[in-house]
Amino acid sequence: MKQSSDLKKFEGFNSWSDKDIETFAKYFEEKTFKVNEIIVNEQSEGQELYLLAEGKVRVERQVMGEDQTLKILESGEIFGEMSLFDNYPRSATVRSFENSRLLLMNKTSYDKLRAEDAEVASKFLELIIQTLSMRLRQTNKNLEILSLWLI
Amino acid sequence: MALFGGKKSSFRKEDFVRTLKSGDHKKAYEMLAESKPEDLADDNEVLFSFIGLKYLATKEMFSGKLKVGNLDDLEEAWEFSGEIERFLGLMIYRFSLDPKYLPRLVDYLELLGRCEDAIALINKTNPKITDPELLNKLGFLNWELKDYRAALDCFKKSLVYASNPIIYNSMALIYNELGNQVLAKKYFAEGLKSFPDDITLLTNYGVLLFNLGEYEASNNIVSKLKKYNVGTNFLHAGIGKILPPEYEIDLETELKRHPKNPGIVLEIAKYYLRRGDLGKLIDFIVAEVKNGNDSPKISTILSYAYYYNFQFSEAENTIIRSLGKYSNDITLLLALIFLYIHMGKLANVIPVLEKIKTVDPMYIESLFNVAMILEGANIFTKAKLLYDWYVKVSDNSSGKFVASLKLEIIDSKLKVRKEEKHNETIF
Repeated sequence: MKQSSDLKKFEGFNSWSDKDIETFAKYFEEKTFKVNEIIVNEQSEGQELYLLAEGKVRVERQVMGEDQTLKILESGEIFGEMSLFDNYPRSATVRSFENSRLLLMNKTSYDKLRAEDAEVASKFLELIIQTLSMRLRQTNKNLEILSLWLI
Repeated sequence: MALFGGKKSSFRKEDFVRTLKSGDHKKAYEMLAESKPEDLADDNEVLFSFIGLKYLATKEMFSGKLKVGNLDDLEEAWEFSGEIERFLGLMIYRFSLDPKYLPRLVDYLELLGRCEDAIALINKTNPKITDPELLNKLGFLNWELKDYRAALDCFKKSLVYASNPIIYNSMALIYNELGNQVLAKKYFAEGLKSFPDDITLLTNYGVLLFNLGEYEASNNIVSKLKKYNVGTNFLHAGIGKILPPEYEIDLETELKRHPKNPGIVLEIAKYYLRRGDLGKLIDFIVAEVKNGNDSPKISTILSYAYYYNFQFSEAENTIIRSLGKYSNDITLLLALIFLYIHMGKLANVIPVLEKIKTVDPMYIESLFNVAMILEGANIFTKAKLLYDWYVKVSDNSSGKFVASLKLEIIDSKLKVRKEEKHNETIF
């Protein structure tokens, strides 16, 4: 199964067994996007998490009426994970920067995974917590850097 | 046992290093005084310590034809080692090869309290100075020597070439020190006209107005400063003087309630800083450090106290020495960046960031993130600085690509802003 070989490339799955990855991969579908194609739209509804299997995507946000590039994500990175757990609109637009191939899991698939394999679902949750905690740490460090001008 | 130099029979590297660490420059130099740099070329540590010590003893710059490789590696490895004399030697050597090392060499002379030598060196190598960075450096050196007239002269010249909030702030503080509050107010106000959100200018202006009894104007500045959360994140000595009474603590009760330990020492130090009692704070921490209550955070607070007390080299020296002991401490490294930013030594920031990258690369990503926040708030010059640092230090090629684009965008926005300002003046 192609999805499972893709998942093995993600750092977060290093400690997972092949069997767990095979099980987990069944809940993903694959989508390809051409250069400049919008993957998710800022402020739109959506409850999918994405894993970038190939290519690069650009994360953009409207700031004071202008589109600002926030980041370029490369293969092996995850985005959209918050939307699986809250009902808020997307916080940024993600657009394909190169021809890209993504694996996506929607809320229905995630609920299905929880019902069918609680152990893999819990491992997945741990992975999401790790991702969020890294982002929180990054935010704390941002504040430290910002405060260099504010003390 | 290593043997070097002309006195091969008697020189022991271990003795030399011990003497150097004890701070006895004269004795350390005498151990090698008869040597020539070429004799010491086998050991870079001894060689550059010797070049540094020789300058300190004789004011003689290095002028030989010695070839040493991997200078960048040595610089990276030694910058925060706490061996200031050795690093001075390296800077002297690099300066002998490339005059662009003058500002860094001057920094290290200042750090060693050799302000007169630093001034003489700048004047000798640059008879007619038009570079604002060098003029500012001369200004700060003269200020440290309490030659106020010379300092003001340098700062005034520097403002002709480049507007800079640190310089407006410094001029206002000098006039305040000289008792001329009218001119102090004038320079704060002029600085704030060009840099309305500059925290240091706002804070010091607020304190001056408070001291002059202009409470309403002072309160207006405090309200503006509250937006920036000043006084709660890191505590600012200046604003402490005008903090409301709820910030008071009963220090004697606190001291009795808790036995002294680094945590309590830190709290008490923060209290002194908040109240603006800088003299007491410095005496208190210096005594506690002697008692063994030492930590990177305490050194950081001491450094801030020196900084707010206008003892800039002491501030920098405190951090550098502490980094000799706690070389990977992020609090100290960030404090050093704070000092360099606020002292206008922006060129010195890059090596510190390189060091931070080896300890925790997430801070480098933060440069990019914070640059975006500042850019979003239209604070373009600071955003530009951060993007520029990010491009120079980061290993993230995609991030660097985006940051480079952003630098181009900001440049064009700043150009438009300048043109708009120009048109406003015309019309």
